[in-house]
Amino acid sequence: MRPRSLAGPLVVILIGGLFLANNLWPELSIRHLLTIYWPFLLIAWGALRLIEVLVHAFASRQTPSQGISGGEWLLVVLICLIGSGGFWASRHAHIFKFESLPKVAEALGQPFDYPISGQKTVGKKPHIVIENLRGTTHIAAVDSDEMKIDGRKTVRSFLQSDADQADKQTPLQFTVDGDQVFLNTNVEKVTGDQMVRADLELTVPRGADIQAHGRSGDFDIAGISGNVTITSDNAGVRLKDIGGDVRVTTRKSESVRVDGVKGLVELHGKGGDVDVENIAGPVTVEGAYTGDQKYAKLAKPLRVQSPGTQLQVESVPGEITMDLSELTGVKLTGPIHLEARAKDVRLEDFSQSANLSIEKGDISLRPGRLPLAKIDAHTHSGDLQIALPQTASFDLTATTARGEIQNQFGTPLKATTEGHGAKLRGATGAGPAITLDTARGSITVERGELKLKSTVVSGDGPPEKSVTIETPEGAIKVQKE
Amino acid sequence: MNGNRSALLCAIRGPVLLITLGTLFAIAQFPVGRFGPYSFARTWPVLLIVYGILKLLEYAAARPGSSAGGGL
Repeated sequence: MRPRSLAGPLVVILIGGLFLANNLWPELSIRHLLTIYWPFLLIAWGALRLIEVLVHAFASRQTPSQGISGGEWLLVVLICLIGSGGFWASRHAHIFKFESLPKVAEALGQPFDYPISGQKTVGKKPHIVIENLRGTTHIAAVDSDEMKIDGRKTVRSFLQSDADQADKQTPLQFTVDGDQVFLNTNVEKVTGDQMVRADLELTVPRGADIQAHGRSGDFDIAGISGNVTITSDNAGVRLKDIGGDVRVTTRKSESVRVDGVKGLVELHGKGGDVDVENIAGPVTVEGAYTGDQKYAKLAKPLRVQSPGTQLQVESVPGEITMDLSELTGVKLTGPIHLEARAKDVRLEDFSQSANLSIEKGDISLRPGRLPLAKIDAHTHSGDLQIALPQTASFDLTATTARGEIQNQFGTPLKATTEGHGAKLRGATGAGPAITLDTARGSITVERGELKLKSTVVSGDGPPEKSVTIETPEGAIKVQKE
Repeated sequence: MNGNRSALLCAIRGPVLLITLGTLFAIAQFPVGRFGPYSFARTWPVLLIVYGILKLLEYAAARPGSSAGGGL
């Protein structure tokens, strides 16, 4: 008889354990871990079978005819297909935009609604702590010293009596202690089949500081002049017109949107889309955000630190958009510092120095403003393209170890061939150093168009007989005949 | 004795190929040093090479009067 293997029972135990862990600790994100680490399952399986075969061979001097049966190979092929498909899908999650699937308890049963309301005097500048683990929380500011709560609690249950009991188990906690306000919906206190969520509409004094914690459902906060701190697991976050500092920590929020903040913005954690606009203070984003990211109109430095990308920009008068594979920046103020593993980078109309280092990806640069500053662009594998204004002064060195160089700028740049690669050198005036370097890829240096920085600055009398146009290379006065 | 060794090599072929397969997929997801990650589409010939080496060892072990490494 063919000796029985341990692998079968162990796989069953492992699958059971994973499902159990997923149910007990949903924040662990077992699915995410599996899409990354599944190849180690194959290695462990192979190692186990190898040990079994060797032990069997040395113990009984009889070896099984084959280490892995046909059925097992079929399973291996299936795991490989699902695993690599899942990994690909998780890398390109932004294409699919998966909505989280509703849980069984939420999908079955009927909704029973219970109103929530409350009103208390809390002062002009209270510190409000909100715990609403399931459900949306809308917060609007009013010029008053009262805090008002409206909303409803929804219990999904099969029976009215069960729902009533769940409602009693989750009393709204609303306490004021000096300037400290504490609000807790207690929705997580219900265990069992019922699913309780609370959707809140709060109006708070404009000067309030908000500290909120949620697991699912969205936070929507507008018009607060104090600080806002949000810790969110799955919840989406939308903040508008905040007077103080904003600190957001997410675990896997689908989207974080911050528009109009007078203080600093700090964003930590994991999630999907990020949209940060009109920020007066410095912006720091640390973590793995896999969706589309947009940063626009930032007056102070932007720092983005994610597993594959490190970006620092002095300020962003224009905008930066990026996802896992691309980064585009228009109208930026340097010094710009970018390190990325795999990204196609395109920067347009930037001033001050730029230092870019990419492992895999193309770089395209169009510094729009004069005078130029130091530019250092390096890619290990990818094409480089730069467009320089005709009247700019610079000292350019471009090197490719394997690839060709196209000199569309013309004199004074001179290209030479070196082995499989090429080099382009040349200087005009006493300009800053521009260094372009790729280990594998082509380099193109071309003349940039005369780009208008701004349109009409002044006009002499109606209808304008002459207009002054400001360009990167000075003002031009145009006379009308 | 040679038959035993050949049977053993035949039996470990599956597990060794499975470990190789797992390693190649792992390399496809994690970079090695400052290079990579290398996709499975690029590294799959390693599987053929490992298979070939195992078959070669089997062949060497099955030949009467030769040592295991003799065929190499």
